[in-house]
Amino acid sequence: MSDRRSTRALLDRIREDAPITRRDYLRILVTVSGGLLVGTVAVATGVFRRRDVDPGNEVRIAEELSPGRAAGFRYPTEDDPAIAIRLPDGDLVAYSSVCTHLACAVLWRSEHGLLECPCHDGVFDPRDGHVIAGPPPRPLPPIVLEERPDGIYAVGTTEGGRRGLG
Amino acid sequence: MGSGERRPSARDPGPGPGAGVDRDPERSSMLNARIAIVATIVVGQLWALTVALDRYFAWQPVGLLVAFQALSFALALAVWLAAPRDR
Repeated sequence: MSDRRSTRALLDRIREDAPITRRDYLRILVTVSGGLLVGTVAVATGVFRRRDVDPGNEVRIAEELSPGRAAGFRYPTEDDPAIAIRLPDGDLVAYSSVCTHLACAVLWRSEHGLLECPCHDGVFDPRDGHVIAGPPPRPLPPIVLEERPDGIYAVGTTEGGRRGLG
Repeated sequence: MGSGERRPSARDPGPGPGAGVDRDPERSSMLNARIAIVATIVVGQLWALTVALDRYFAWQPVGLLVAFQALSFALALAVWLAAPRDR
């Protein structure tokens, strides 16, 4: 009750343009701190969705990929271009092919063994998608693949540390 | 102002001796220190939020940053609650 009264008194002082006391500053800072916690929780729980999530979303990419070859596909939605690569050592990886700098298309350069963005010379490591050179601020978002007898499937992203969310 | 009139300042001479002087300097310093600590915590939380957004857009987990934010808020709350007279 007294908390509510003191909050109202603080708001009145702010509204009247009266000098804010140091105790008010402290209270405001603690409130901002709580707000930042709420904001981070909102981000973590996916309140601000990048796209619609469809947990059962699976897309067949190709029947097979030989080492050094790549295939373009769209995942998790038709508006999300992505690229799957069979690395020379046989590992299969896939990433969103939207450059994290200014959203140009990222291309697989098999002669360099790198993912490159031609717009501003951003270079990504195909092993884990991290930035090797250029202006991109973040790694490429990875996509989870599964190899099945009838082909290669995209089955999810690693959003929020979970697998299988589209 | 005509001659013979009393100057307003003679009637209202201003603050008396000792006005504006901190009467409880230790308590005042503690309050300043608490504001500084909580402000530092908030700056750290702002940084954590930018990192969380960065990781979110890279489809990476942000659980640790949520824990950091919760811990920071708990600390800020504790600092605020520490002195009941200065809330």
